[in-house]
Amino acid sequence: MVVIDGHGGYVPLYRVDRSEVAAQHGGRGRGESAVPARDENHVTMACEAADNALARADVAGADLGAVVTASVSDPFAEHGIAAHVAYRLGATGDVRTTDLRGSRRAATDALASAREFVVANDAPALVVGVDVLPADPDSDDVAEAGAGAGAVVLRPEADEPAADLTGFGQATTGFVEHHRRHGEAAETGDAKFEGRHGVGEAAPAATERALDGAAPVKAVAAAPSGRLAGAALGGVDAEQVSTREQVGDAGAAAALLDLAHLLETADAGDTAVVVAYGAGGAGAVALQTADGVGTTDARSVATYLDAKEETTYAKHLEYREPVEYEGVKTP
Amino acid sequence: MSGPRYERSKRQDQHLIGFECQACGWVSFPEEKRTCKRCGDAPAEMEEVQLAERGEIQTFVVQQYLPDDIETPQPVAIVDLPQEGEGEPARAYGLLTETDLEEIDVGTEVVARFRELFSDGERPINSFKFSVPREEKA
Ligand SMILES: [Zn+2]
Repeated sequence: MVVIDGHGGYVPLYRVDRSEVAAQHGGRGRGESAVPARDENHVTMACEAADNALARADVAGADLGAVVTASVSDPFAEHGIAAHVAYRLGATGDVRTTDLRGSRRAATDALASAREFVVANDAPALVVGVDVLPADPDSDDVAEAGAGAGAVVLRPEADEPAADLTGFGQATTGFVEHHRRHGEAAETGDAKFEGRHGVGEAAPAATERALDGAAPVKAVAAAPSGRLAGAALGGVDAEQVSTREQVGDAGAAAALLDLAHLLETADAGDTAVVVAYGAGGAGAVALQTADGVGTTDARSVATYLDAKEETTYAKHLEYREPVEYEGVKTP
Repeated sequence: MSGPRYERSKRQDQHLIGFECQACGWVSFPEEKRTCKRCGDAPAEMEEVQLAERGEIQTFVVQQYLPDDIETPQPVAIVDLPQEGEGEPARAYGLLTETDLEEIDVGTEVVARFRELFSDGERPINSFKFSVPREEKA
């Protein structure tokens, strides 16, 4: 058995009202999207979520045997996220780092990969999802481009785990409709077609394999749109825990941010499922919550959602651009 | 060690490690000084100490004129960071982030935040800034 012994999320402070984006861009908008501050990047946001997860785990950063990250928006082809998060946490030397990307399935693949590491090495592993979706003013989904991070610490066992990981499933179909090149807006394609042949074929099959007959009461899903996320959970009769209304599209990180939110708000003894659908298929992870659910510290996902400052459409676009200064002088 | 400064000081920049003078207890941060700035001991015998991620603003200045990419007003604070163990706090200079001027004063408690400090070409260099705790904005 592998358990989740710590969970944490992170959401940037700034939010853009999607109706303000719609007013300037066209279309309609409801809810808000998180906007990273100018001085935030994938590594810093991942570290915030990881710090929160580790603070609730009975393990120090230096004791981690592996760090696995999932992201569909890492701007670098070569640079990576996992090794930098590991370094910041003090996990250096004989530490496995893995950067998963290319599909929102990276979230459940990261959980599966970390679980296998824990079983094989009897050592703790950290899983972090982090995304800052590009906001392209020419794209229809510019208002929904969100940002966030989520993390869990997996261990062979723990005194008071938040959850037991009970099952994993995947469905590789090779189906791709929604896709995106670096620096370009997503090609969203035909949502109905994707609903039927993409998510409709992959997500239920993966979920069934993970649940193995268990009936979940709570669920989270990562998918390219809110509609596809809902469809990814079409086969299960469970309450969906989602931060999408407040955070926007958080890419692969949505699965881990929402999982942290689920574990902070769940009762012990609940069956839950995490489903990630993206290019190529779907992955699913089943879990049973335990006594370590909830949070006693101040850095809960709920706090991050409440603590916010409104920002403008212009900054929603501008803050995602890389900073171009080489040093700030301190007195 | 040679190489760029951010590689040489990477460990203390990302881990809040200070250097305590064994002669007088003064804590150097982020650089390890060869000469103690307080007692003048040279070469000073410095021991590594872990600093806490929460401290108090001692004083601050507000920068108004900065390169275009940096938002102004940009407050810069002197923050006393206690040690995790016994000993004197370290005095750290730090930029404040996601913090409005109305939120800070001398004595305000701030937390260390891991942020992008500058870029080396395209590469982000991350280290610590300070902010009021996020929960105080909820
Ligand atoms: Zn001295």
